[in-house]
Amino acid sequence: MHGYEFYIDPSRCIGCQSCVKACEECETHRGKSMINFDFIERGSTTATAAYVCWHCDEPTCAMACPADAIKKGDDGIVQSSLHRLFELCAGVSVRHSQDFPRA
Amino acid sequence: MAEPPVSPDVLLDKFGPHPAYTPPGGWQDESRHPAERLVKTHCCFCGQQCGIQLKVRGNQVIGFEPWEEFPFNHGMLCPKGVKRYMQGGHPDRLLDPLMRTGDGFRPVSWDQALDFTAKRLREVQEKYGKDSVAIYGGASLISEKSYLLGKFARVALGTRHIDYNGRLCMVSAGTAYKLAFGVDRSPLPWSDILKAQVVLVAGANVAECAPITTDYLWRCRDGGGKLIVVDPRMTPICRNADIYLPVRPGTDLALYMGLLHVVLRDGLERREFIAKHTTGFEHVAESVRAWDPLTVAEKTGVPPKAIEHAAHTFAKADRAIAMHARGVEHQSKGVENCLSLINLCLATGNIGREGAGATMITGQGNGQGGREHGQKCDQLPGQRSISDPEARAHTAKVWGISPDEIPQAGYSAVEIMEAIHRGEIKALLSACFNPLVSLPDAHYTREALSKLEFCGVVDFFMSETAHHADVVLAGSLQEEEEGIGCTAEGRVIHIRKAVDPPGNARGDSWIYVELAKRLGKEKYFPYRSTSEIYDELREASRGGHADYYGITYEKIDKNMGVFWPCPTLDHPGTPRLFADGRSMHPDGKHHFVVTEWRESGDPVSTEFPVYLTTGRVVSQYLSGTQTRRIGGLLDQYPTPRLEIHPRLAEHYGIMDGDWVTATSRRGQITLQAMVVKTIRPDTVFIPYHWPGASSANRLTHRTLDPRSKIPEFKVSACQLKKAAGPPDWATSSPEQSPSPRQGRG
Repeated sequence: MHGYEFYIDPSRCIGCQSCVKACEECETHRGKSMINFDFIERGSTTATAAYVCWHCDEPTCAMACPADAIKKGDDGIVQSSLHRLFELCAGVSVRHSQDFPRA
Repeated sequence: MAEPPVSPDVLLDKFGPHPAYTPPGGWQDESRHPAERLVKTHCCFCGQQCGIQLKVRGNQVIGFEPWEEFPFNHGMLCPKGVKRYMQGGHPDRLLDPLMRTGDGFRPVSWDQALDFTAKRLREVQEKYGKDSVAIYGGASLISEKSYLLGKFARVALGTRHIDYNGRLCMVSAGTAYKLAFGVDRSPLPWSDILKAQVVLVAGANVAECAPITTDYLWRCRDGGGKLIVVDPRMTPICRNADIYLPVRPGTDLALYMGLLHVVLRDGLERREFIAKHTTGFEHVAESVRAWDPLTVAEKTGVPPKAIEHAAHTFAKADRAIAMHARGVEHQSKGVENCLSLINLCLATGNIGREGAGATMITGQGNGQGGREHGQKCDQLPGQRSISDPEARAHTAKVWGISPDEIPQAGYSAVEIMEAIHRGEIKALLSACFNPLVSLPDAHYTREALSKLEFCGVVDFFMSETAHHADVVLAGSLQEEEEGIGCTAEGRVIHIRKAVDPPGNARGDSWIYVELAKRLGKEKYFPYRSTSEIYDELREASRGGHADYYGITYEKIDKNMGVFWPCPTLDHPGTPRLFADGRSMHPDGKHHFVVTEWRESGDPVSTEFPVYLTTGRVVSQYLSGTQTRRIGGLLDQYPTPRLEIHPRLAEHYGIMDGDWVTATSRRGQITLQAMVVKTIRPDTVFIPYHWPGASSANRLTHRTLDPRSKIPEFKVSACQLKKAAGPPDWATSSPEQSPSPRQGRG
């Protein structure tokens, strides 16, 4: 299966659903998006979960994604953003629970 | 009179918006009848103007392909870009000019529609004077159309009053950059973002309103760059911010004066740069002295340590960028907000170098090009001032008239609506502008439109404003005329014509030329094609700041766009401004400009205790005339919802999904609550793309920035109350059915 690897970097995803719309345009299943997208817990965070179909040779979803969150690699190397500690000046860690501190 | 001829429901039933879910011919049609050609052009749905290839068969756009070679977006597209092609062959498309009847609108011939329009405009001007007619333009028009519209107003009609919907978008930034640098353009190309060590994103929901810029921010971070985000909402890019400053709506100016205060207090300014390249530093330094972190914290709600940390992070970087959008600009001190960011950049020596500078994120499709060549009330082509005698002489020569014949500056967009309301302006010709949805204080706008003695609309779909029209002239989509645009970067791009307008619809430029002919001004409008209009635009812009003279369609194609100014045919264009250390002011210096604090025009009070801020969602564009007609985009966010923090929601006994009535000093609307921790607990957010009883602009106010005349969409005061149940609009509208994709997981 070498060359068929898909990588999704959830930290890059901005929830725009361009992938969902682009998948619908793929020749083999035009009109039906194979991507399952949802916000994980929108009440707490804008974090998302997008599950792609893993099938396409030239995935339109990966080409379109404006955040470069979907990659199909030939070499198996994930080009992900740097992991870094989140520094939130409002005094809480957004990464773990997005909320504002009580006044 | 310009009341709608029948009830809006009847007009909505006939003209839409009806969401289209399938492409022309159906989903599988393309496999049976593949595209005949791919047209390399650009998306029409925001100022990024991403490269895209449209699939065309016959005279129909049937799909898209990514355009991976285009250097700005490398094939990437947001959901609007992916679905933009669905406007082609849309069942709501206006295929004939329409005239109002007792029971709606009827199709008529072009001669009838144009003769009637010209006759009514002439009658109103003869009765009430030249300036009793106003023109509204649109920033999404290709530059040839916006240039033509400016000339049409001044030469064919001789009215002072032409302005455009970019007045709701880029004018605060434009005014500030002209004051500081002498020119209204992003000083840097987007490739500079990758080179910055720190990017401060101020009041810009990049992920939803300029999605492709996200990729630049992420790549900057991949290289070790730090991201500072300032916003009352934790927008999607905040998840990767190194520093997030949750500013209280309308207090951004205090925050940026505070950042500069810390920079100067701690001696982090670049004295040599300031001395060599700027003027006015001492006055600005004095003006921020009182804005210490504690004072700023009290005003903005941002903790003092966070203010200091952000100031140090920005000032200690060798290369820092401050980029801003409507969050800071849509305020009655929008110009000051931009200036305070520019002051911060100048004090830290961040301008005119790779990876450094202040920049604006232009919002509308052709928002940059559409404001440069004459549809602003105070500007002539080339970003020339209409009050400058030399500029008037140059433009008059190109137009073949006397400088005295060019009217002086007219009213801005909101001021035009106010002049209509008080009876000073009697007739309106509105092109691709939907003020009923997009102007603040929508009840007032409706009253004003109803007072018009003549209302003409040029559009490709029946907008809500067009319900008030006497004549609707069926115009063209972006891909139906050849021309140019200019992106947020200042890159002039080629908008290729992919198809002809369908049915009896016509190119907008043809419509203005025909109207000019009927107004007796044919000799000034001799164009046979938009390329002839462009050649005249090049001449008209020549020698101005936005000098396009050296840019031809062929040169754009060869270079994947050309950055203005480009004064000669062999000039390579100017991706980064001020690289020689000089601004475009006559003295060559960058100007520090003093900013002064003042309160919002609609302050919170005991009666209206909650801040309301409005904006966009990723799946909709402006007033929704186009995007509310595309099923896939509509389903993604079908109706406006009111974002509210759980603690504020709890105070009012509101649960997620409950109906809530928001009331401001001007009106009220009832929407479903979306209870989220990603917004300040003293603020609610409503997106503005919808009309009528769910229109956020029924709540907003008409306070303008005194210089830019931008309305204060980002700061209003409101009160909240849990509603007993859904309002009428939600039980009768076909748009109301919730989509599974708005689920909350």
